[in-house]
Amino acid sequence: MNNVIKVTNLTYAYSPDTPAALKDVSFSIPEGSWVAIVGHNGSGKSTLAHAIDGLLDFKEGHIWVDGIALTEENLWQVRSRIGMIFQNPDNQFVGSTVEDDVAFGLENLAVPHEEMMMRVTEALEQVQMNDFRKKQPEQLSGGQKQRVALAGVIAMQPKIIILDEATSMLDPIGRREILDVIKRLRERLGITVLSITHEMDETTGADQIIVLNDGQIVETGTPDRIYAKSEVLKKLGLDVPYPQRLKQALMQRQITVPETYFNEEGMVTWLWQSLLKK
Amino acid sequence: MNKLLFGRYIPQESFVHRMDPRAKLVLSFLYVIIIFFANNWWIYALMAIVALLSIWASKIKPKLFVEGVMPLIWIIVFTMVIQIFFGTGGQMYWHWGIFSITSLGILNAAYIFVRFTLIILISTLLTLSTSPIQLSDAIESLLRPLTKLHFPVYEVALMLSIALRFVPTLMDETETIMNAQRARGVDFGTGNLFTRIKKIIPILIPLFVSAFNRAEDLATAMEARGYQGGNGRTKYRLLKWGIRDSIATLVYLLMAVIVLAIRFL
Amino acid sequence: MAITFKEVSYIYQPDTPFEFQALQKITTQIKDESFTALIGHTGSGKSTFLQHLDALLKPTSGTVLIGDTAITHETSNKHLRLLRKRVGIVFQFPEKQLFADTVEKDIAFGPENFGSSPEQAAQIARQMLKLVKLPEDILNRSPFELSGGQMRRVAIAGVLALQPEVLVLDEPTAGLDPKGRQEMMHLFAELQKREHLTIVLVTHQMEDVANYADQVIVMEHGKIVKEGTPRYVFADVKWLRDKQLDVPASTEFAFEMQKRGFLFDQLPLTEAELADDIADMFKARGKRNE
Repeated sequence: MNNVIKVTNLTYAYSPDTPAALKDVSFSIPEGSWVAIVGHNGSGKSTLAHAIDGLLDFKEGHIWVDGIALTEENLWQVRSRIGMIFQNPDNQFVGSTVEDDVAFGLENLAVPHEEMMMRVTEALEQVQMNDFRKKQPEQLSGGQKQRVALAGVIAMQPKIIILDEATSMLDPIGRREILDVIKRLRERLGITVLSITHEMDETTGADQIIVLNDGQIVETGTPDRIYAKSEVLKKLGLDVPYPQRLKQALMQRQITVPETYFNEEGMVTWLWQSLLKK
Repeated sequence: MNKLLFGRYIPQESFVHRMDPRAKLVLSFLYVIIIFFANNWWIYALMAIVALLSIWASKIKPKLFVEGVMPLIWIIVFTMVIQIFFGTGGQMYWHWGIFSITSLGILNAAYIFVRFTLIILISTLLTLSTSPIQLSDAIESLLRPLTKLHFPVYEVALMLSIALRFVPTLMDETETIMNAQRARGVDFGTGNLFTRIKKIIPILIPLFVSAFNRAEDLATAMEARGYQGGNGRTKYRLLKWGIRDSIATLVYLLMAVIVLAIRFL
Repeated sequence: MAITFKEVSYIYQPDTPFEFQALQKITTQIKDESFTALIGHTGSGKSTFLQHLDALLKPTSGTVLIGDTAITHETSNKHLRLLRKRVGIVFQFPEKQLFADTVEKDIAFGPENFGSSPEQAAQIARQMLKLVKLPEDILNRSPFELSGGQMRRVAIAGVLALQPEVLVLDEPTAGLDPKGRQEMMHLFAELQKREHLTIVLVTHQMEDVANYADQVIVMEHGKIVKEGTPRYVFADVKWLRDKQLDVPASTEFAFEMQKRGFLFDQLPLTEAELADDIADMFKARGKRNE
């Protein structure tokens, strides 16, 4: 498969006297996949997202997006392939109404008016916000604002969507709304998704998880492989998935549990086989 | 929940609501200018009819217009009182020192009342039937010729629209911060001017900090969405001149012509 | 200190087109030295409820008893300020309220407003910093130079500095990472024990409710729809799911086990409870096989 994002030896510090926020980071993301970057607050994960979109001026290392090297000359070409959703739902809502906000990116691309109308409607339908198109931001919940932000990104037809802690300021309903929309978009449009989060339960559907700590990649692998390393996750201040936690609690009670990773359903099945099966 | 709708715009469907905001803005200006040429009851009657007709066409409850006049009622009354006691000319009814009540003074006071009321009615109509963003679009469109003089019309309009967009957000934030400081023992209602000003600092600083953070986030988000300045952008909201606007313009022009004819012929 | 609500209703912007009733005849009690969790969706009336605990809002009708002070529609604003020393509120994202040029001054702000001398207030600031587990050397730094997590702790210290009897926490862990969240909750539990505080916690984290709360109030559309112990409230998993509310992970897991034929006397709330139950099942199975 084609690597739609490739990062090699990226190092970055916000100022010469602070420790580097990113240290020699290298990885690549295959086209159409969903990769989650996890790490505690201050681990450098957001910095990495900003770097990929050319929002930081880094000196060391290289980034390629869709085969294009990220340089000053190619900046806008690279950005046109990436749609980014940020953390704060209010601070990225530029338009005075829902439809105006979705259109903002299209206006920047100088899309003709008729086409713009069509693309705005289509994008709003994808995130199920078309009924709200005339609403003002203060009439929307946080989750709805983030869906509008997603529509704004989809309308620009990017190859990659980067979610920079896009759910961290939402309540559980809002979080679920966003994650559902992302899943549907992936199925329908096959967009590459790079999600940045500290919530492990938001990574269950990912193809790959990259664990970041102090600006360095410490683990890379499928969710099952990463979830199994509960000791590492705990040490890095991240959540351990529930079945793993339960397994450890059982081990402390002298019960032998299998080594392999179970998701919730697998764990219930194992308990059923050991305890109830005749 | 506790939100005043900024600019008091009442969204609904009506002849006036669907008019081009440029037409509304220009006609409101025309109305205000023309009213200063009015000098007899026939003209005032005509202008009142046009105002009432416009209000009727907006389907907005008359009560809201009364509420629009009320905050300014003391200014109107004050100006009228001055006219009544200091105005001269015509028949003298009462006189004491520098004060006098004359027929002309009373007439002028009545004119002032009508003028003020009509101007407030028509400007209330404009703000109740036109959202702030439509007004900013209208201003942008009307100022467009200035781009030839390198005036950044587009950027100014974007600034205006973003500012309007963030007014409710910042109002919410102010309330939150005020509550937090009240919970820490600040009593905003008491004290002399100096202590009151001092009490504003714990609100102003957090507001500024947060506004700067928001501005930074917003700039990043706009850049990520491809904003490179106003040049070469297309527009999603287009202003369209329709039959309604032509009709309204005709009515107002007719009024203007009649008024000027009565006044100068 | 207990806080009692008697038929409390609150209406925003009454007699306007924007009129909105946020609380509808609420009657309940926050018991002295309890740890009460308040759950419900955005817009359920939680934040309006919270603001009544500190008399930041006065009920449109009904009475709020803060300790033995009754607050009604008619209560004069003059008498409210001293109440606010007894009830501290940590608002959502409290770091937003920081304003002073040093950490010390910001924490001392509350005590000074309530009449402490600058020396006393500075001393309280030092104590509070220790209480929220921040190093003393940041006292003279600007709060705006600190990390997000540290800023939040400074803000919380600023509320604790009032030395309140009731501490109200509005989603105090929002935006923190798992480790920060855990540390923060530990801190509150510890404070409650040591200072005999009454705590009211608004949260979406049902794990925290299961682990720390002894009372739960569930709000919806301005009404209390359920209240009681966590065990009582979380017993009906289906009801909570209907309301789109989460359930503690252990309860959720046990609920799934029930579906596969496992039996529980009562649904477990915490990891330890569930593990104990399962361990018992293993023992029972072992005996049967012998």
